[in-house]
Amino acid sequence: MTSKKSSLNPFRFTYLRNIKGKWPVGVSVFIIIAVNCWEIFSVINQYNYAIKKNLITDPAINLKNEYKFIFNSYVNDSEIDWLFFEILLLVLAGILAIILFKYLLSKAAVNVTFSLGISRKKFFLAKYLAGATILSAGVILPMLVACVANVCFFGNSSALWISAGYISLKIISAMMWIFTCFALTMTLVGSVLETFIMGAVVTLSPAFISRICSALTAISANGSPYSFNTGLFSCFGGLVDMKGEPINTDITILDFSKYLTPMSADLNESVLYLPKNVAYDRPYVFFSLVFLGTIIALAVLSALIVAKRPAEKAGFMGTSPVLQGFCVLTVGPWLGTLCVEIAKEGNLTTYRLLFVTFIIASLIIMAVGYSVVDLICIRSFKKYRSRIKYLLIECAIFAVLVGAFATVANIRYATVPKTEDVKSVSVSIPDAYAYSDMSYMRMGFYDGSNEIRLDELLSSETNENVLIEDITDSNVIDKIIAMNKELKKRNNQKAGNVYNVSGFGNRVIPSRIMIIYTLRNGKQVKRAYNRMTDEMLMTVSDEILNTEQARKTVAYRLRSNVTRGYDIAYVSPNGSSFTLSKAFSHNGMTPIKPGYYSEGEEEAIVSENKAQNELYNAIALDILDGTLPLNMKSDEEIMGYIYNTSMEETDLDEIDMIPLDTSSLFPVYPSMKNTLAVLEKYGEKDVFENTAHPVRITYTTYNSDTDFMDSENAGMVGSMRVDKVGKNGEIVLSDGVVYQYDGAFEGEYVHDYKVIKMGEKTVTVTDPEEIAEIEKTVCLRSLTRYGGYYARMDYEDGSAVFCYIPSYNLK
Amino acid sequence: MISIDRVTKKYGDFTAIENLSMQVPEGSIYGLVGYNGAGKTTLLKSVAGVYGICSGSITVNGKNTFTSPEIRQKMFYVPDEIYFEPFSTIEKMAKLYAGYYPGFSFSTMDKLCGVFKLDKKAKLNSFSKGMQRQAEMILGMSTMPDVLLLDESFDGLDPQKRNLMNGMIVDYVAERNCSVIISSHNLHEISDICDRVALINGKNIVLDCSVDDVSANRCKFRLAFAEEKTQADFSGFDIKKFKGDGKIVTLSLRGNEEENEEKLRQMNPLLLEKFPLTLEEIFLEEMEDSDYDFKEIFS
Repeated sequence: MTSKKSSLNPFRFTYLRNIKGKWPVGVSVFIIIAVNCWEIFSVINQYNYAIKKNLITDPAINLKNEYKFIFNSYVNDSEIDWLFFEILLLVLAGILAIILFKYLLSKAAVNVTFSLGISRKKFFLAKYLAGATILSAGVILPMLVACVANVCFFGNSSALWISAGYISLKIISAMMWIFTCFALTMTLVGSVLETFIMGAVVTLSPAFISRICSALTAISANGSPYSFNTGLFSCFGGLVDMKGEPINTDITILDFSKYLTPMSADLNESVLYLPKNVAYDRPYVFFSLVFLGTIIALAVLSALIVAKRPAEKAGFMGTSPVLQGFCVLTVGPWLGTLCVEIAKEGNLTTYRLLFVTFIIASLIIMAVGYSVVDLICIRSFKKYRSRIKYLLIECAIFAVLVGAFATVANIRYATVPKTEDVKSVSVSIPDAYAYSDMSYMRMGFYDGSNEIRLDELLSSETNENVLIEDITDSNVIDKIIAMNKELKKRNNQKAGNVYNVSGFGNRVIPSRIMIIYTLRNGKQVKRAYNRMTDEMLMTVSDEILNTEQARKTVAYRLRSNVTRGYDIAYVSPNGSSFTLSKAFSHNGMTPIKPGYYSEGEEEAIVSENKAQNELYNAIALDILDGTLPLNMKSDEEIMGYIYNTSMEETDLDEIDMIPLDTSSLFPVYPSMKNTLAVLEKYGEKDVFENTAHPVRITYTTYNSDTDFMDSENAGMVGSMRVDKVGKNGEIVLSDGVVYQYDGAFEGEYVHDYKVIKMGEKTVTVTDPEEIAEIEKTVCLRSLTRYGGYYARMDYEDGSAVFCYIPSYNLK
Repeated sequence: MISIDRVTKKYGDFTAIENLSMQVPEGSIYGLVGYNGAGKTTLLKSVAGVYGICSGSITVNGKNTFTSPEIRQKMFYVPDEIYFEPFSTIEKMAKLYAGYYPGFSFSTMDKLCGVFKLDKKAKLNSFSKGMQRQAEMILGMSTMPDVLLLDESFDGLDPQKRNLMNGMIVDYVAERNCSVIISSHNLHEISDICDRVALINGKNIVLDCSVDDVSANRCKFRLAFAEEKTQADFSGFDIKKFKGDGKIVTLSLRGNEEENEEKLRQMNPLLLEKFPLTLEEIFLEEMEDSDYDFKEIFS
């Protein structure tokens, strides 16, 4: 009896034999994915629950929507809740590679496998395909079961299959990346230790390279839209933008949240609040396919390497100087960027200096890293000395690459488009505190401890901090191009900006701005700059804040907190999460609602909450109408302010929510008919009557903890949170103003505190005309974080209001 | 026929074999002898297609063994370092080999397991080194190869099993006209079963002839003369080794045995004794560099 049949096709034999032998890995993947898919199955449970509790009026529609909603969350959600399983999947892929290709590292195994009647290339590819099949089957099968089950329940849908296919594609790509990187590494090295270390480096190399490229562009090219990428795993999409976000987020592979995150909310309750007619999200598979293509290319490369691999490498370390060089050349500069990150902390370091820091740090780390790795591998100082030339070659390659990269980047980002070539322009603020404060804080939105910025507000809706979007007005474009040119001149930018605060001292403002031109030929030109000043920002502030897009976004956010679809599901049913609104005139504060509710007063709270919601809605409508301009530059006389004070921490800690808790400030103008109508409805319109004007305004800047407000025994009634306690008993309150208060602790709420002292550079105004002018410019928060003045307005009756005056308004 | 033509193999800067040529005809058992590190294993691995060579060519029936998997399907290499898959048995390994060797015969395997008294279902890692060698040989023979490459394959075998193995190889070669290369330090084995022997000295083959010719062309003489003799007195001979002790001389000569004896007698020795050289003696003479005087080293 001889064997004829199986040997006719050794490739098929190898493939099937390896699938048969390594099936436990596939089963493990299957179990993990099945556990994740349980979320999809749980819709059925939700359905039953909702029916039992009579929570839904139309079970069929709600159930379908719920299902689609969950599936969409798999495709788009950015939460990371299943980290353990994600890592487990990746580890399994790596382990499978090591199991399948360990024959390359064993002298004895190589003797047998290389002498078999199959080419090395085919043998390797058969094993590779077996691994790919195992991993793919482990993903696809549970997905398939989940889909079939749901099709049975809810009917067929092409979108469902597209979503399932997309999710599977992403998971498979992620695992195949690890699998392929380890396989490639094993074709080059000779030992298991090297496989672990170099395999990890190869796997993460896109992250390393992406970070190096983005950091290098950021520090070497003025105008570059790239920045440091702080996330190791989030940068598999290539270069990152100024926020550190991958530009092509769809290509991310290690961010499993994209496809594995289950809903974090309690589904039983959220069924109630599902929006109607949910549609499946359409996945964007292009980058995933490109990524998969890269993996296939690497697999083919690995097979070609195996075909030429010297068998005598097996069991020996240091046999792959090329890979060793690649690892050192990747990890060294990556660590160099970390050094730059540390150096950047000072903010006042120039970008040229950071560039030099990067070069020197990288070279030192490369030299040390190369030496350590080489000595470990070859364990011979004599041999090491003879191989030192490779280090020098590597350093030369590094220098050439960096030089070329910086030159190209500088040339590329030096140009500014001409007005006639620009079709539209957008301006975004990736991390600009100054500008966001200016726009958003002017609205008075701030939650006491964590300031909420306009960029956050906008980004939560659009994922981009767009302040001006697609403006086509040539005057605006001109202004922005002029600003761009001014920014370009400052070519030795500092990581942070030194900003002279109206003669009161220098401050560091780490502000950035990104300008995106859409040219008439359809191309996009992005420019970003690190150095911003109030003066420059103000040249385009009206354009930014008066856009319909900005108005819509702010109004939408205001309204969405009380009316928006499923978000409301996260509001606790008793409504206590929304705190109190108060209206006050300059004569004092008059609450339109009672201040605090105990648990027994839920019914009353709900009704009060309704009143508050109405008020927010009305303010939102006035913003949309333009009667409450976002830049607060109204020709009308201010009637008074409406603001929120927080009594409790909110329950709004779920995703996608901006809590509107403390001290939200809205000026009220006579034309804000919607707001005034609500106040009238609740009998509060007269709070703005008999508006008094201050008899004195005192303002100063906050330079240090030793600058205090004037102390005239004036007190302020209210409860403020202590943000910081100084050495001498001074405290910084949640509104940012410094007071003297003995025995306070951070995080504590204090009452009836005294203001004791003004700083040396304090200005006091008593002239009524001047007071009237200043009064028009004040608000409760600074326009820029560091550029404003703390001001105190004293009234005839002895009361006082503390507020901000924007520096650019105070000439 | 295995044809090795001017093969050079280097490991980095080190040259393991250089410009080496030899031919192994069909139905021939070729013994490869050499000291440790002489290049025997390198040569065998190169023939097996495990190692790529730097220059020259290695072909079996005209096909390159490194690039042609088809020819490797008819060739079995038994390395000095035995490898079995983890937790495998002879049976499982047989299934593996059956996937790559079209001629694999399970019945042959069963019969050979019976002859060598090995349990084909037992875990191979529980076998002794000698048993593992037998198992590997059984698997190799069951592939019914046209070319068999054995690297130190008799190491660890007891005399009975060695004898059995010899018989198996000789019978197989006779039956299937197989070409066999055996590398071994055991010169007795070589002389027992090989019909041709090649001696590798470092990088090259220094001796390549049939086993019979080896002895026929070498002979050792011990002579006693009336007066003292030096090596210069024997300038007319092809001396491989000379040891003079005054009037007593021991000579190892190349060339025709009878002719050498006749010439020596013409020198009128008081005593002439003739000893045929064993393969081992020939091997040691060829490796005379390793003929250290350990007394000198340890004195």
